[in-house]
Amino acid sequence: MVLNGSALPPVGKFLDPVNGFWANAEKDIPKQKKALQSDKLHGEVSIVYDERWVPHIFSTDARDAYFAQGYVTASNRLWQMEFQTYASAGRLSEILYHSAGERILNVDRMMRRNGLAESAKASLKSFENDPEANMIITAYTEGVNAYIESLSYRDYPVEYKLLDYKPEPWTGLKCALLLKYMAHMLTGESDDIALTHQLNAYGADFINLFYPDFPVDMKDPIVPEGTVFEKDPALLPQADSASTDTLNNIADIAVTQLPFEKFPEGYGSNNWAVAGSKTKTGAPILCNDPHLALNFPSIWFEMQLSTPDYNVYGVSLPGAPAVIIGFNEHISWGVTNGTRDVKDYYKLTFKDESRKEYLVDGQWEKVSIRRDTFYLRGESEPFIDEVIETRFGTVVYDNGLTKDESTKNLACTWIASEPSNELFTFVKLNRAKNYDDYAAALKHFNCPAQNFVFASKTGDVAIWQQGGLYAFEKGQGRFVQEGTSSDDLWPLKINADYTPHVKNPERGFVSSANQHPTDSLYPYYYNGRFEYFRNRRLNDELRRLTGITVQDMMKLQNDNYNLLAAEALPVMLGYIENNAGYEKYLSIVKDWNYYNDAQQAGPAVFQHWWDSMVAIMFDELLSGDLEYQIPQQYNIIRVMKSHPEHVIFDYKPSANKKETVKELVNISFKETGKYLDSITAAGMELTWANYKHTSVEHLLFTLKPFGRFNIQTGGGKHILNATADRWGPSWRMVVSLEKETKAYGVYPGGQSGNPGSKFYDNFLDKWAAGEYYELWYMKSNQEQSKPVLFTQKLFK
Amino acid sequence: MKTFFIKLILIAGLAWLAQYFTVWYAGPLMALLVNLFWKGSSSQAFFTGFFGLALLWFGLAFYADMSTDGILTVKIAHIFPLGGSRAALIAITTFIGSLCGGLCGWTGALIRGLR
Repeated sequence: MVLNGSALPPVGKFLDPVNGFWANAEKDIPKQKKALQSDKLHGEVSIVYDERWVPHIFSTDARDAYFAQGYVTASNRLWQMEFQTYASAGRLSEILYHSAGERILNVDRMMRRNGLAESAKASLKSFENDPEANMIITAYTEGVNAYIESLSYRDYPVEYKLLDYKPEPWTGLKCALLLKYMAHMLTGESDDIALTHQLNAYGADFINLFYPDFPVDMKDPIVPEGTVFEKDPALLPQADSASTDTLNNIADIAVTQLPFEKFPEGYGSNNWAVAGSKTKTGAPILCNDPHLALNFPSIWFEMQLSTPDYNVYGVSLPGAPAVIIGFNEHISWGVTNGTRDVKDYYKLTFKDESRKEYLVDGQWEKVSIRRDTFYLRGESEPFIDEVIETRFGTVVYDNGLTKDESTKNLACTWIASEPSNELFTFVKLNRAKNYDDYAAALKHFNCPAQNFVFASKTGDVAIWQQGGLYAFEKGQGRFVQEGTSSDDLWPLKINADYTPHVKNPERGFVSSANQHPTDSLYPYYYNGRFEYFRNRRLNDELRRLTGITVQDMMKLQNDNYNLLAAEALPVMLGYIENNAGYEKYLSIVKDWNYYNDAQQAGPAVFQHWWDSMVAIMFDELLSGDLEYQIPQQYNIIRVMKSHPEHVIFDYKPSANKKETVKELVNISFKETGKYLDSITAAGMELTWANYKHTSVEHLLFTLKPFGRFNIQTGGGKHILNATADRWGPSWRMVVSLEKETKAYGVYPGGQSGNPGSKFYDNFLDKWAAGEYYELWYMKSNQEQSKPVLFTQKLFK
Repeated sequence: MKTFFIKLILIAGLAWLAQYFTVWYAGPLMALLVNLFWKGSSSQAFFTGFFGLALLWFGLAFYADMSTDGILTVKIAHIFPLGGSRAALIAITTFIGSLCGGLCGWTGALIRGLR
């Protein structure tokens, strides 16, 4: 029997009121042991849970702190942390194959082909070779396992009971897998295949017009315009020989749409730090809100880790040691995604159908074959996948993963599949005391490239885009290349001293919102799909504000100003002529102040109108069979003004008429009126929040009742308050680095992963309202200035 | 009648202990054991098991639901397609427990009869 797409759990076992799901309903606070003895500990650890169920961990050394972090995280988030490692390792079929079948097997196969599991294994080796990293991973793992070993079926998180399986022992590999999972989420997307189709179909002029590498009127990159960049001396000869024109080497491909869900467009993050010269108190303020999928259990777990050597507070990723975004007594830091294209495709030339040899530099070279085994729940025989590996990467889309034969020659090189030690960056940031510590910590970071913002009590503010960044030649990696020459393999990496960064700029602030890291003067080529609205809005506001308070910063994180609409709508309105029957929507949108507030109707009218217009503008791409990529909004707006009669604006269904922008604007406006009439006639009040329908869903999407739907919030894509339908600010943090640090934060969920706990989603309403909690940065475990719900002791 | 109730309470109590320390089906098995060692008609065996487990499963489920304001019950009652009805989920739980209890109790009497 199947329930909403999941297999039915064994009824007696599940409904048993002593051990079954009933045992997961929590009356007050989550069920916890008062004390735990473990001979893995060095001393005593005290864990203070405050009134929001945030654990404050106090230990006598670092090893015990990481043990406690593992124990505490597992106590609250065990199912989630384990499930995410199954996803990253391509092992979901072991849990879900009996109900989800081939669909889940294909997801697993894709994950393995992307090489996450293999690179996690290599990362683990590098952890183990370093005594400190090894200590951290081992202690964390022992902490998680101390919790798992204390469990019986009655104590399992309810998801294990629903899916009828049990937790397996935690391992260091799982920590590595979890970090790779983040790399996958943040850099898994690539538009190389789509852009190659469009280049081949429409030519280089089309690409240059709609997809320029840099915005034509470039403003507000992360490193201020006009900065003079030094070149990495180790790379000079290569970077200067930009004569090799990689555009000559584009592969002729035709890949029909790939069978996997695309990440929604327009997600990203904001972070910034304002120097004391711009704040009311004279102390720097640092802000960060990473935008991620809105899920339960929440992606972040808030905590404080305190040892005699350091005292750090912030959010952690369940399954990975250390605090990822936060502050300590000396500094604060935050991250946004670097958004670079770090996943490239090559078209290989195989000798014959057997694909055992491929051409490199005029010679036939043997491929290596990796055999991946997938255990399938409910089946006695595992599935074996044979994966072809080459110097140009792994062949990802063959052997039945798509029906498309043309993909069997495509190899993928992805930076996330390199072994790496991102964990060290966070461990060192947790203890950093000043700018030099911060800069040294970043050197370990490989993928996903992040913009690390920084502020210190000594008054420094800085931002640094760090991650393994390669010294690409102009145009390299933007399109699918012919993979036949070793010259086209990825070049050397840029030394971390020469990746884009800025410290204490004159303007008094540093910021990032996933935009271009630099202007076009940066000496190394890169490409990606960079933001161009949030960054300009953010910098405009930061330039304007003086005497800044934390309240100003909270307001800015929740700013709903829609710069896209402010730039697009006047152009659209300029073309509108015939609006018979839909005057009311025209007046709504004309009277609108460009703020995407929850209760306004204007943003809904604009958004639908814009989306409909774009859909008919690019109907050639959307209606074809091939992978496509719609140009970015700011380029569309520019071309609407500069080339209103461009051939792409011709609407295919009307074969004997040639449309220009003007007709499309009017056709799409009518379509919008018709649609909005139909949804309001069906009973929906026309507000932006209702139209947008923000929801937070459980990681298992089939478990709808564990989610929350139609949350009344403003914001949206390309808006500082980036709350879209299924994505949004996953943690809002404001830290004022005064003598006594003042910090505020909120995230859309709760500390407990248990849907039967009031701490599962208790922050959500406050988050939706744009409010914050004051974070309790405890100096010692004896502090009593706020209520304590529970104290736990771990001892030797 | 008095025997009936004592037997029923004994089954409920033993079932609670058995389930707490082992697995769910150890509860209904207590109905079997009690009726194996304590003589009675097969209908008494069935109904002491049935109501013994009903008492236990209803009591615990009802308490779990009420004391937590149905925080999880409502969600599970949507996943099992019961339209979010807490009462329906408690009723189904009670029914599963009591049916197993009844059948086990009856089995106990039948095995006793074989000797």
